[in-house]
Order: sequence, then C-alpha cells, then structure tokens
Amino acid sequence: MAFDWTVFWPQLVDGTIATFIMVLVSLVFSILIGFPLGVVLVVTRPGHILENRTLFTILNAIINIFRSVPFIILLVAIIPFTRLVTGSSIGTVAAIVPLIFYAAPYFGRLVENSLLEVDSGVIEAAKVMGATPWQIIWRFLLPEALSSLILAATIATIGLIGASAMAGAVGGGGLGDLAITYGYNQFEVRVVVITVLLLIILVQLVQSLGNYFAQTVRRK
Amino acid sequence: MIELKNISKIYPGSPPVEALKEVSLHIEKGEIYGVVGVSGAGKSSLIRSVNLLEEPTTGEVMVDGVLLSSLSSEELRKARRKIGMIFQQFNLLESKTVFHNVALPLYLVGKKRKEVEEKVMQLLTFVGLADRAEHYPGQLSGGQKQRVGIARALATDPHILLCDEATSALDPDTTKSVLDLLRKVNKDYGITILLITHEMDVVRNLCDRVAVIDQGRIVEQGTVYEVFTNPKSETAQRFVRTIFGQELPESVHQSLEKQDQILRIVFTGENAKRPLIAEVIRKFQTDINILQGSITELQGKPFGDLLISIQGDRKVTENIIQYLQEHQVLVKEVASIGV
Ligand SMILES: Nc1ncnc2c1ncn2[C@@H]1O[C@H](COP(=O)(O)OP(=O)(O)O)[C@@H](O)[C@H]1O
Ligand SMILES: [Mg+2]
Repeated sequence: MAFDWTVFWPQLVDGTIATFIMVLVSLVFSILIGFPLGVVLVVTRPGHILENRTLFTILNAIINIFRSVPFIILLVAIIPFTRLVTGSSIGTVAAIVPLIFYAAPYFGRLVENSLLEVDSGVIEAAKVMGATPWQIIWRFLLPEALSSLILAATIATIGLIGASAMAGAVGGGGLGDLAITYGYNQFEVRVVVITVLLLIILVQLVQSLGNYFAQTVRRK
Repeated sequence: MIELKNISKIYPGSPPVEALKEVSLHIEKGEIYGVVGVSGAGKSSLIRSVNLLEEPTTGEVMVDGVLLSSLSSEELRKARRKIGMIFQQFNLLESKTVFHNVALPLYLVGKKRKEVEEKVMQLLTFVGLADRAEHYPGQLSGGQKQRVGIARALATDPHILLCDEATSALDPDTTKSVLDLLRKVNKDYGITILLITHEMDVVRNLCDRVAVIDQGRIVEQGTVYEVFTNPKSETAQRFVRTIFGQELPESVHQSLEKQDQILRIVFTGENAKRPLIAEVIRKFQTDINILQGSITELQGKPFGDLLISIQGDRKVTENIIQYLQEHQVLVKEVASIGV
C-alpha cells in the first residue's frame, strides 16, 4: 500500500499546531506556578530574607517527589485528576495537565538555581538601603537573575517539547503522536524522519531565541 | 553618634566561633574612626553589628541615641537609610546602569522621577562620574565602582558611612583617590565615618581615631597620633611596624658590635624638626650611628622614628636617654635588633 501523502500533510500541520498549543499553554501555567515556587524556595531557606523552615522543607519535598517521577508514569498516574479537570483523559487538552505537573516543579527548581546565583552581596546592599523583602525580590534579585531566568525558561520549554512528544503516546496529539501512529505502527520511516526533523528545528529555534534574549539583557 | 556597649558575637556551629568579645566603642559625630586588625580578627562582625546586618549575641548598639535592637523591622529599615555602607566587593547591580544603581535607594522610598534625576546627577558629579551615568558596572574600574558605591550610599542623606574594607580590592593609587573622596564625604557632608581595614596605611591617611582589634577584642584605642607614636599593645606595635620600622638589613645587623646599645627614638610634634641628634653628639662627645629612620606626617603633625646605636659607656647612654626624655622625646631601649 503506497503512503498517502495528501492525507499526511494536513495531519502534519495539525500536529505541529497541537504541539505548539500543548507547549505554550503548559509553559504559561508552568511559569505561573513554578516561578513563585522558585522564589519562595529561595527566600524561605535558612538564613534568607523570609526564612521559614517549615514552608521550605515542605515545598522542597513536594518538588523532589514530582521531579523524581518519570513523565510517562506521571502521565498515567494523574489521569483521574486530568479527567476531573478537562473532562477527558485523552487528547491535546488532556495532555496539558500532566505537562504542567511535569514542568512546573522543574521550572521552580530552575528559578531557584538562577536566583541562588545572584551574589549575596547584592542582597546585603539592598538590606543596607532599607529595602523590604518584596523590594529585594523585585528590584534586586529578579533583575540580577533576569538573563539566567530567560535561559531557565528556555530549558523548560525544550523539556516541554520533548515531553509533549511523549504525550503523543497516550493519544495527546501533536508531532509525537504522528511519529508513533505512522512510524511505529505503520513502519513509515519517512514520516518519523520528517517529524523528528521538525522537533529538532523547533528545539534549535527555541534555544537560539533564548540565548539571544539572555544575551541581550546580559550585555547591558 | 555610634555607641557599642559590650558587644559579643558568637556564631553557632561546632565549635561555635566567638567573633567579638565584650567590644565597646564610642564614635563621635563627625569623626573618621578606623578599626584595624588582621584577617579573622572580627572587623566585619563588628561593623556589621552597627547596622544589625549581624545581630550581636549580647550587648547594645546605639546609633543617634536610638537602641537599634528595640526597633520594629519597619523602623530598622528607616534607620538603615541613615547609615550608609560600602563594601570591599562594591555589591553593585551588574544588570543596571550607574545611574540606576545610585537611584535605587531613592526609588525604594518612592521619590519622584525628577527629584531622583537631580539628586543622582549631583551625587555622580560629587564622586566624579557624571559622564558614566549610562555605563554598566562591568565597564568600570574597581576605583570607579567604589565611587558608585559611595554615591549610592549617600543617596539617602545618611549621617554615618560604614566602610567594610572599602579599598582592600584596589591598587595603591586608586586606594589613595578613594580615601581622598571619603575625606571629602566627611568634610563636605559632615558624615561620620567608621571604617575597618587590615591596612595600617589606610588608618594613617584617613582616620582621626583608631581601635586595634585582635581575636575579637579591642586591645587598644586612641587618636591615630597616639597609637602610631606610642603603640602599647603588641598587636598595635606590629601594625605600626608595617608602616615605619622595618627589619634592619642583615648587613647592618651583622656589623653591630655586641656592646652597641640600640635605641628607638620617636620624635613627635615640634621635636621632629629639631636637630636633637646633632645636639646629643656634640654635648656627649659620642658616636651615634643612625641605623634607620623616617620622618613623616601624621594628622598634619610631623613625626620622626629613628633607630640608633650608641657605642661605648653604658653610663653615657643613660645620660643620653635622660637628656632626650627631658626634651619630650620618646626613647625606648631595644633589647634585640630586628624589632
Ligand atoms: N557567618 C559566619 N558564620 C560563622 N563564623 C563566622 C561567620 N562570619 C565570620 N565568622 C568567623 O568569625 C571570625 C571573625 O570574622 P570576621 O568578622 O569576618 O573577621 P575579619 O573581618 O576581621 O576578617 C572568623 O573566625 C570567622 O571565621
Ligand atoms: Mg572582613
């Protein structure tokens, strides 16, 4: 049976769009959740401006738990929750929920690392001028970490592109889904090559963009 | 102005570190006060207790008559704006321009844009960096960065400026120009300065009074003139020696006879200008060998430090010592050379 390209091309377009949607939506939510998580993780640690051992220990443990579960298991494990939220456990929208569970704690860790890189002398200078903890975070820590935070978001995005392809395994749609339906189930190697190439280009694009913006804010 | 009463600081750990032991200091309004000590002596712990960056384990910190530990965190933030601080590593925001760095303390208190602009440019002009307003710290030399640090510290019109090894990362020439600037801060704005350093030269060039700290204790304090001309503690003597009497050259050391008597003579004030040694040689008909000497200025007063050897009768030497002392010259018999 000859491969029907006229059917495939529109599917490729749809798959790419689905991947974009999955990545973008879950990225936005992951940042909304992960960013404050990372900030809290930094400022509540012992010796920091809003030290709170209990909160720090709990958040730290939660993040570790989520970070240690492989995505494919997470995907299955939270199906009941996904169904509760989206009304379905299959499809593009349903894939977004586990992607957020996967990427938010990850991004939180990355934000934590970025903020910890800021020289403690800067915080000291902030305290000396009478900055409130809120001002220290917004006017000192975040601007100083901005370049590094952009790279963190880049890494998270690329992580999401990879994970979204995996979400295809459970019928999440997107490029990963295409690769599996055609490539794995129908042994159509050319389709696999095309989708993988697209994924590679996407990753390269995101990385270049991230590097560019990180560099722009750093050069100043 | 600044009053530290029986400050002790113990860093918990195993074993705990006792960084400050019963330290008391009184710093007058308008003076430049230096604390000198070797690395690990407790200088940073001391200066950081003045604005409660480091909370003393026991003891009281009074600034402008206010007991800092009694303040709420909001009141403490307010009080800190009147206590500027500069750092060895400058601690500027690398991601922000010179202008923004200096403006930050003003933004924090919600000053209007126009007011901020005026104030910042005035401060940058004062520190000689008006033309660098739009540069980033990464484009500046160490000395320039410290100038930005000083401008930033002055933005909130503090009464006090704390300097934590402010020149230790700078080369000698730059150090001198930053010290000149600090003197100008003190003179023009009447700001009290407390600085800590491990360099006695900084104290000599800038301070009115000095305290010597050793292993968490203040072992000596007084005017710079007093401490330099007549250091009493061993630590102070060692520091003064870093500036004046170096070790004798080996060849000079070897040429000395057993019976030579070595004296250290310190001329202060007007005596430094008198030809006292010539007078002694004439009067006592003896040979005096000057091994080492320097005449410098301390706080605008001349100050001479001589190491001499006298050959001959011990009795004559004693008469010479007496004669010199009658002329208000500090004489110390040096038991062994190399002191
Ligand atoms: N945060 C800290 N925790 C534990 N020990 C400290 C801390 N800060 C300083 N120390 C110790 O306290 C002593 C005095 O340090 P410091 O005040 O920094 O001295 P200096 O500034 O004169 O070098 C040193 O033994 C140092 O190791
Ligand atoms: Mg120090």
